[in-house]
Parts: sequence; structure tokens; C-alpha cells
Amino acid sequence: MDNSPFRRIVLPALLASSAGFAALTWPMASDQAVQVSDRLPEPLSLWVDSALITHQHKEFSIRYIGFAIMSSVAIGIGTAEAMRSRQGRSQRHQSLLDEVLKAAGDRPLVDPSDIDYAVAKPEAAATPLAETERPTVTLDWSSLVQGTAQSNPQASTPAEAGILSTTLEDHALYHIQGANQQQCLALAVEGEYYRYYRNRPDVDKAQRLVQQLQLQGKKAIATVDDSGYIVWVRESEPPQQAVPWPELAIAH
Amino acid sequence: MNLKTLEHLWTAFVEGERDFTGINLAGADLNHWSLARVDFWGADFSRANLTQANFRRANLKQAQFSDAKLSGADLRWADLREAVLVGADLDSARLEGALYNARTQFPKGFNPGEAHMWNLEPGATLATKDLRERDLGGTDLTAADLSGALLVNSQLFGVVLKKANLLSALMGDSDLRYADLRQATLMLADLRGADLRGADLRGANLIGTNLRGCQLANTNLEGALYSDSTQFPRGFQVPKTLHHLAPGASLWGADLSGARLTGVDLSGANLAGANLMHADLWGACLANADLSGANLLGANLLGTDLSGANLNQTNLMQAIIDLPGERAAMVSFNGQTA
Repeated sequence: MDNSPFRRIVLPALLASSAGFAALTWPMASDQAVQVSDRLPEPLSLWVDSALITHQHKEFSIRYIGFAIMSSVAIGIGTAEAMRSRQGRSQRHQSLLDEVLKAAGDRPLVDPSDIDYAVAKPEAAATPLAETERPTVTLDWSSLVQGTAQSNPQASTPAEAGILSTTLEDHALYHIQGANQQQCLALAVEGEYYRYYRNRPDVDKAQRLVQQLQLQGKKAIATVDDSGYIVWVRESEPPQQAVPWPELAIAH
Repeated sequence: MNLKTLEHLWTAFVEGERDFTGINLAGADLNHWSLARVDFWGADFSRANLTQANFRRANLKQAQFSDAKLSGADLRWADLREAVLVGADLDSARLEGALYNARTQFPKGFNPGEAHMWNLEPGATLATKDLRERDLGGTDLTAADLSGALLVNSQLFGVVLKKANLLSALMGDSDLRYADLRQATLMLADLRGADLRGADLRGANLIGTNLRGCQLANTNLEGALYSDSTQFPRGFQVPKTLHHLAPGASLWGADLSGARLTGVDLSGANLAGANLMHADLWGACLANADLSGANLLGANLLGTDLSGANLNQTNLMQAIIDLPGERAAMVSFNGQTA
């Protein structure tokens, strides 16, 4: 019902038409019209006088009512046309918006201009920023992940957080087979096997992942290489099989 | 779940962040959100309203969806390995091509096969599947069929693809460091720009493989097979431990067991004493080759040209051999084997 043509086009047209008719015929019905016409300036007062139903102006008044009817109908038609054209523009705008959203399918359904940057950065709330002065929001994801990393303040340095400064080549690599019979790459550190878990692009993300795993009760470490960090998780049970990674004898 | 977390998510997303590993969105209202390709590894969506949400190609590995509303959600090609979907409402959810494994926990009565999901496990059949730009590092895909699969720009660090069929697979720019590709068939595969440092390609089939621009430092290529059509990186010195398959090649005593050698031209080659057990020589040319003392136990010799070959003391037990036309017709007619 909210979007029906009756509500959006016909009803405003009827209201505008009625209002126009009422305004035009008010002098004929009102007792105060004579007093009002006296106070009006010259052309308007004559016009109001002519509309009054008096014996002198009877013929003219009938014609005036016809004029009022025609005018109100014209107002109604004009209003309907204006509303229809406005709705057309709105529909075109909506279809364009739909196309944009379809094209940018990997974006969330939120307009960046709707984002309250003051909320994201409370210290900026006091001074509203202009459109061009929007801050680059730096977020601390540790406050959002499950079991916050910040709750473990003692693990402040990478080494304490399980980040090893050594590379993969510094450790013995194995292929281990766990209880699920599936094989995977593993690192041997101090007599324990660490199963490959995930690559991380930088130290912050590696550290956060290691801490997150530690909070889940898993012992994790990360090694560094030229493309980032590799996170490894300790095998809780000794593997059924551990085959050393082959000698890397062939290099060019 | 508070509103501030959602606001942070919005803000960071708009700023271009796509890595939300481990984020806690339990109970959040994300219906109709478009979060395609976003990394939600280990995120918590328990009891969240994700109706009609778009998670296409999103990384949802180890994510929690317990009692979440996912009706009408788009989860196509999402990674749901080890995800917990117990109690989740998956009514009308689209899951075609979504990845799962034995540790993915589905709602009671849900059949991932009927939803056209792809199971990533050893021996999986994933031929011609689109697995590009995925994080499949460390996955065990031993003996999987990935022929013709699209694995461009994928994270395949430490992946186990031993004896996998990667015939004509597209793997350009993939991270294959420390991958186990022993005896894998990489015939005609395109690996341009791939990082193969530390990978184990012992006995791999590299016939017609494009390795241009690949990083091969510390790559173990011992016993790998290659041909004149194999394209190595510019300036790469092919180690002598590789087997060059070509007419007249010397492959005396080579271990080619289980190798896919379909259509290979080895005419006049010296294969004396070679191990070709269970090798696939369909349509190969072994004319005038020396196969004396070679082991072809269970080998596929359908359509193989053996004219003039030396088969002295060759083990052909259980080998699959097609018979001449009139003989085959006779066998068929009599219903007997030759």
C-alpha cells in the first residue's frame, strides 16, 4: 500500500485539487470575506468582491465557480503529472543504484558516507571533519578476535609470542601422518612436531594468530621467510609416522 | 556481540581490509551483507543472522556457525573445511562448489554431496574444478584427480599432491613451496611463475609442462620426466638426474613405475631393465625400443606401438594389451580370453 500509485500520485493530486478549489471559493462562503476584501490592495480587493455571491454579481459568480472548478482540475492534473515524473526519476535512480551494487558485488551494503568515523575514532569526535579530511582508520583487531590478544600482556615481544626469528631451513622438516591418516608438512623443534597451519603476510598477523591459538590451548610457533611468516601448531600426540623431508641436494 | 564491533567491521571493510581472521561476530545481524572473498578463518558466527548474506569464495575455514541463520545465503565456492555448522539453518542456502572435509560439521541430515559441495581429501575427484586463489596450504590431496583444474594464484604451501593427476592443470603464480609432488602427473600443466622452492618433484611427470618463470631453488627433481616440449625457466641447467623422454633416449634401468606416458614417442629408446610397472603407455610409440628385462607388470599397453621392440625376458604379466582386430573379434565372438 505504501508504494501504490494511489498513494503516491492520485492522493496528492486530489488533495492539491481540493485545496485549490477551497482557496478559490472561500470568498463566496465566508462571512468575513467582505471585511477581508476591504483590507486588500486594489486589484485583489476587486477580484474578491467579484467572487462574492451578491445580487449584483450573481451571473459573474456562477462563471467564477466554473472557473474555480476548471482551475482545481488543472491543479490536480498538474500535481499528478509532477508526482509521476518524480517517481520516474526515483525509479531510474534506484535502478542505477542496483546496477552499481551489482557491479561492486564484493562490497557491503553500506554507503561509506554513512559511516560515523567519530565512532570509529573517538578522539576525533570533538571536531567534525570535512569530507576530504577523513582519517585513515587504524584498527586494533586484537580487540575483535575471540579471546583477545591484549588479555595476554606478558607476551609482548614476538619471541615471547612464539615468533621464531629463524627460517624454515634452520629446522628439520618432516612429513607426518596423524590419527586421521592424512599427511602433512611438519617442523621438528626440540623433539616436538609442529604441523603446518597457515601463512601470514606480516609479523602482526602472525603474532595475533599464534596468540589466538595459544589461548585455545594450542602451542604454536611461527617461522619467518621472504614472503612472510609461517605458523605451525604442535601435534598433541606423537605422529603415527614421520618421514624426513628429502635432502635438498639439487639446486641450480 | 556489540554494535561497535559491527561498526569496526564496516569501517575496516570500506578501508579495504579483507582479513578478519578470528573475528567474533556471534549473534550479529549481517543479513543481506555482501562479504564475498573475505577471509573469516576461525571467525565466530554463532547464532548470527546471516540470511541472504553473500559469502561467495569467502574463507570460512574453522568458522563457527552454530545455530546461525544462513537461509538463502550464498556460500558458493566458500571454504568450509573444519567449519562447524551444527544447528545452522541452511534452508535455500547456495553451496555449490563450497569446500569441505571430514572435519566439517554439518546440521543433522544434511548431505554435502546433494548440495554439490567439493570434498577435499586424498583421492578426491576435482577434475576441471575452479580452485583459483584459494588457501589450500598443507592439504593432503594424495592421488587426487585435478586434471584440468584451475589453481592459478593459489596458496599451496606444503600441499601433498603425491601421485596426483594434474594433467593440463593451470597453476600459474601459485605458492607451491615445500609441496609434495612426488610422481605427480604435471603433463601439459601450466606452472608459469609458480614458486616451487623446496618442493619435492621426484619422479614427477613434466612432459610438456610449462615452468617458465618458476622458482626452482632447492627443488628436488630427481627422476622427474621431461621432454623436448617441457619449458624450464630461462638459464635453468637441467640436472642429469632427470629422465629425458625422447626417441632413442637412454632410460636403462629407469624407474618409471606408475608414470602416465600416454602418447609419448620413445621409439628406439633403451628401456632395458626399466621399471614400467603399472605405467600408462596408452598410444605411446615404443617401436624398435629395447624392452629386454623391463618390468611392464600391469602396464596399460592399449594402442601402444610395439613393432620391432625387443621384448626378450620382458615381464608383461597383467599388462593390458589390445589384440589385432581379427583376434579381438574372435575373442568377442567366443566369449573367451586369449
